[in-house]
Order: sequence, then C-alpha cells, then structure tokens
Amino acid sequence: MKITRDVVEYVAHLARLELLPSEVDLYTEQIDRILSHMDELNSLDTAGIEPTTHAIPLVNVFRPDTVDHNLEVGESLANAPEREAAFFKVPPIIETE
Amino acid sequence: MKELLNKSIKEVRDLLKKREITSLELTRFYLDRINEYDGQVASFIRLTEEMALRMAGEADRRIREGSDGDLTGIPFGMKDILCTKGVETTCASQILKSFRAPYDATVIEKLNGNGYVHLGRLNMDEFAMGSSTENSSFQVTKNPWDLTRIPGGSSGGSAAAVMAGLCAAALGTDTGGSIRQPASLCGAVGLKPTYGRVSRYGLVAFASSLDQIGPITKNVTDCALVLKVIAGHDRMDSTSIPQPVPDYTADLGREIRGLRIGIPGEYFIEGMDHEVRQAVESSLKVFEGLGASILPISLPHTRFAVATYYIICTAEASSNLARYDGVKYGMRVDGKDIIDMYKKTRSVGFGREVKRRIILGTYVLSSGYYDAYYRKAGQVRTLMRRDFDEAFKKCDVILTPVSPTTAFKIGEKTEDPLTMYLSDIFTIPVNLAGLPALSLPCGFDSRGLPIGLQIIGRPLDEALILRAAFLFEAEKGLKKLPDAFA
Repeated sequence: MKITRDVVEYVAHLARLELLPSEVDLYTEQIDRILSHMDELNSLDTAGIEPTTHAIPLVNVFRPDTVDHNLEVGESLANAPEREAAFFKVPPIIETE
Repeated sequence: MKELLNKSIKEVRDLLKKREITSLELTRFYLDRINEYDGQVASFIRLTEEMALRMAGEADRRIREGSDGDLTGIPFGMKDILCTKGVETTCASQILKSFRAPYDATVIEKLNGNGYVHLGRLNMDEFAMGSSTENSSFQVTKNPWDLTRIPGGSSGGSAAAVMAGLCAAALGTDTGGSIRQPASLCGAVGLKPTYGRVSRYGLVAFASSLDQIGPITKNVTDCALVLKVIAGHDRMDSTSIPQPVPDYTADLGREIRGLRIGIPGEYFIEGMDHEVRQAVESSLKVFEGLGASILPISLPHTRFAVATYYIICTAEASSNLARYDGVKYGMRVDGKDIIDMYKKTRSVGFGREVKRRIILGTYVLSSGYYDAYYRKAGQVRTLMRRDFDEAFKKCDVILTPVSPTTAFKIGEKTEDPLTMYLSDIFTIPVNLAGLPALSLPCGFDSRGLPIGLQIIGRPLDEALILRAAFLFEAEKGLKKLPDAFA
C-alpha cells in the first residue's frame, strides 16, 4: 500500500484540512485504491508528448493594462465574516512568543 | 396553463408577444408548481420569488414596448454555481452558505439583458463534484421518473426541475459529464458546448481547463435558443473563444443526408446495461433513415479516460478550492491562529467528497509526484485529443451512450467512490478534448427510466450536432414529461 496514513495526514496539512482519525483511515484506503487505478497510465509510452493544459489553441490573451469597472470596498467586504474599516479581520498570522 | 408544459420556449414566447399570457402569469404558474411538487423532487435549494416576480413585471413591460428578445419573460432555474448578484450562491456547500455574489456571471448578464426570469437556485453535487447530486450538503434531489432514484449529477437539480415542469429551462455546468449525464437520466436535452464557447466568468471554478456552462431543456429547439443567448467571446474570460456565435436555431430542420456518424467500439463495453446498448444501437437505424451513414471508428485511449480525468480535475480543484479559507466570505470557524482557522473552517465547511478530491489533487501535484501523475495525465490527455482528431477525419459526428446504466437508486453507489467515478467513462473524454457534445433522449428501459444518446462534434460544431439531434427527436417522437408531472 503506497498511500499510508502519514502521507494522507501530511497532504491534508498542506491542503489546510484537519481530519478525524476515522477520516484518515477511510481516505487512506479509498485514495490508495483510486491511485492504483491511475497506475494504469504507466503502461502508456508518452515519451516526447507535450501535455495538454488547454483544449483550444489560444496563446497569450492580453488586454491593455487599464482600470475598468471593479467592486467598491463596501461590496468587496459585504460577505466578510469579520471586518474592520477597509480590512478583512483574521486571527494572528505571525507567530508571537 | 398546464398545456404550456409541452410547449417550446418559442411557442411560449409567441403567446407572450400576442399578450395571450403574461410573464407574470407564467412565473406564478411555475412558482405554484414548485410549491405543489418540489416537496417530492427537491430540485430547488432556494427560491427567489420577489426577484422572479419583479423580473417578470420587467419582462412584460419590455414585451409591451416591443423591446423583447428570444428569452424575455421565460422562467429559468439556475444551478447554484453561477454567481448571480445579490443572490445566495452556495454551490450546495456549507462553506458558501450566506455568500451573496457581488457580481453577475457573464451568462447571467446575458440572460438579464435578454429579459429572462430567475425562479431560484437549483441543487447540485457540492462544488460540482459528483454524478448523482447525493453530495449536496443540503438535500438529495429525486429523479422525476422514479422518486427513489437519483437524477444524476452534478446538475441533478437542473435536469430534475426541467423534467418535472418546474421551470421552462435551466442552466447546468459540465466538467466530466455533469450536464449530459443528468440530462440522460432524466430524459432531458443537455448540451456541453466546446470549451471556450461560453464564458466561465462568474462560474465558480471546479476544474478550470474542463468546466463549461450549458443549457438543460425539454427539447432540442429550446437548447439551441438558450445556447445562442449565452454563447460568445468574453474579455473577462481569457479562455473564451473569439469566434462569432451563429444562430443555432436557423438550420434546425435542414436535412442530414450524407452525414457520417462514427461509432467507437470502445464505448460499447462489458458491464453496460443491455437495454442502454439496445436503445443506442437502434437509434442508428433512425439516423440511417434520415440519410446518414454509420461507420465504425476507434478511440484507442478511451480506457485511460477516468484515470486521466480524476488526476487533472482533482489537481485543478485543489488549487481552485484553496480560496475557501474563511477570510473573505462564507463560513468561518474561529481558530487560535490563521492556520488553525483555515483548517477548522475547511474541515467543517467541506463535505466528504470535496475533501477526498482536494487530498487526491494535492497529492498528485506535490513534489516528487507531479511528473508521475499530473504531467503524465496531461500527456495522455494529448493522446486522447489526437484520437478524436483522427476520428473526425473519417466522420462528422460521433455517437455513443451517455451513461452505462439508467438512473440508479439513491444510496446505491455512495459506498465506493471509484465505482461512481467509473460511471463517467462515456462523458469524460469529451471534456478532456474540449469538444461539444449533446445528450438527447432516445428511449426508455423496461422500468420506464430514460436512456440518453450522446452526439459529439468537432470544436465549435454545435450547429451540426443540434441539426442531427433535431431531426432524430422529430422522428422518434418520445414522450416528454413523466406522467406524474405532466
């Protein structure tokens, strides 16, 4: 089994998720099975093939760097769980002793 | 008013123009029906009654003034993934409960400009992740043809509402089949346009290289009409195609003599319901009767589709869903510091399937695994596109089933995610290749459940797909709405 509980817990941490031990068990088993299915791709020779990231051949779509319509500060903050003046208010970001 | 349920949008529009009915009456008719029937179907998450009545009044004014468009006065249901200004847009997730979109998606702006009526928000799998609408954090939607069965997903609410006669039409979204599969399971017509044909601005992103918005309707003509209104280049979406939009309704009825229809052997597999196979195979005779020729083709990399898709879409989703952190909108669960807040918010706010896909997606993108999974899947995606390019040298459209089975029972496939993923085998390759495809009813199984047929076209060839579908639909003359809702 290549996916271990440690791997799932680490990846969850990277994705900013907190899992219950039962969830770690469940996901470990399910994800391992899903990844085994994905190993089938290894049977394909893809040497020299460029990956497709975009279904249609559009390249470098630019526009002039001019300010157009945008949201007012009030509109941007309207859904804020917590706000103060023109800011979203959040718990401490920098660790303090 | 009930006879309106069997009319096309154009026919209803004619009645509106002749003032035989008003949009206000039509809107009230649908709101009453929702009140009467949606307790059983559970397709709407929330109604926007005041807004609907206001829009209907506006539409009636425009009609009186003669400044109305193709969809003026027509009541729509909207999949709850399309930002609609001032309206709670949740993607059926707890993490976006109470989020009121501060702007309209481009498709909503276009519909507004055309004078449509917005009835309410339609149920879906959370963040469009699912094939049964069972992953909604609010409610399970039922299939109008059998209320013990799923309507399909992720646009299950959209398909169910249209076929229970609770709205004239709906918009859905399709990343791996989420318009086509529920359309197929509910007997509706559903179209996923060419990637880039319809702007994704304001569509809450799941997998940015795969997502597309499209119509779910009772018939092909309605589908063509809605596509005409919502399609087009958008400077707000740099992945939208700068090509003009044809009038998709103009050529409906034009014959299809000489149309070459390719049938890929890889799509008629073991484990496929034999009644589904039969229905799709007997459809070929209808097309032959219309002058088309059928030829076998091969799409050799089909069996790698599910693996390829679930690497790419989960990777993109893990990135797109990183924004749901409790800072700017939606749910926040307090924590002792910022990281703690992120973790608690996301763990409480997201459902199980969403978390599973975020973990999978994060893993396949992580250092040491990126090449083996994400890059590899991107390469296989190129091989799959080439399969289609080769096939389209020999045929004009490709015909396949939409789903290996008809609608399954609620709860039947929720234990094993892989089984659910494998049921998307016929729809997924189309998203990977960015092609347009339509799901069209072609029959019923012995339990009376709808079976859908998929018509896949070349990039930007929606007009041809719709023409072929229109003639087939006319020829087949299938019953539209289930008796319980007709």
